[in-house]
Amino acid sequence: MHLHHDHIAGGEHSHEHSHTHSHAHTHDGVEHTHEHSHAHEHDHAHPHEHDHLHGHEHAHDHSHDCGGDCQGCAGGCQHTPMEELVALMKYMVGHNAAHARELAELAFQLENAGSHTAYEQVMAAVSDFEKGNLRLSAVLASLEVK
Amino acid sequence: MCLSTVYKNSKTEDAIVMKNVMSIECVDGAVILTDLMDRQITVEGVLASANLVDGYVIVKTN
Repeated sequence: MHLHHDHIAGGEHSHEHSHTHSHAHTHDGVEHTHEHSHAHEHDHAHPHEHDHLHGHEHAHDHSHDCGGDCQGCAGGCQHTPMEELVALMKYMVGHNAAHARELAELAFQLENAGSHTAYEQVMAAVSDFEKGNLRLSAVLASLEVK
Repeated sequence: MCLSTVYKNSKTEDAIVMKNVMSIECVDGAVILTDLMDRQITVEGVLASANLVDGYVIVKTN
């Protein structure tokens, strides 16, 4: 039985990089603020071609290597749909791991409240939940390798 | 702990400002949205409502 650990897949390698850029633009009353210097580290390497995938249209005709950290990215980071899907998958795997921990904690509270059967069932559910999340972690790992 | 979709004034498809929003900051009459990819959008307006269970937020613009 697994308790209190993260099944967040991803490569074991990490790298740091930093860069600075600035750009500001406004359209349709919505201002994009993309001005910063940042250094960051993440656990996978990937090439960067970026497309905007959020809910309104605007044009950004440059791409740059932001290393996955788009905050303040000049011109608005343009990530490929696959990069966004991988980021979403990574978020989901981590999020599921956090939910599994919360459910395990809930199970212990049920046990303390005298509901041993409920405790066992919830812990069995946590185990199934983590098995599912392990599958997702494996998928994530395979996506991040590409 | 879930991501949200932020809408401008009304919860309609054409009013989506940003999806997969992970943080919202309200500063001086503006709402700063940051998504999963760390992109930021600033909307001039105020937070009108947030449904954290269903994962959507409505910003009322000026």
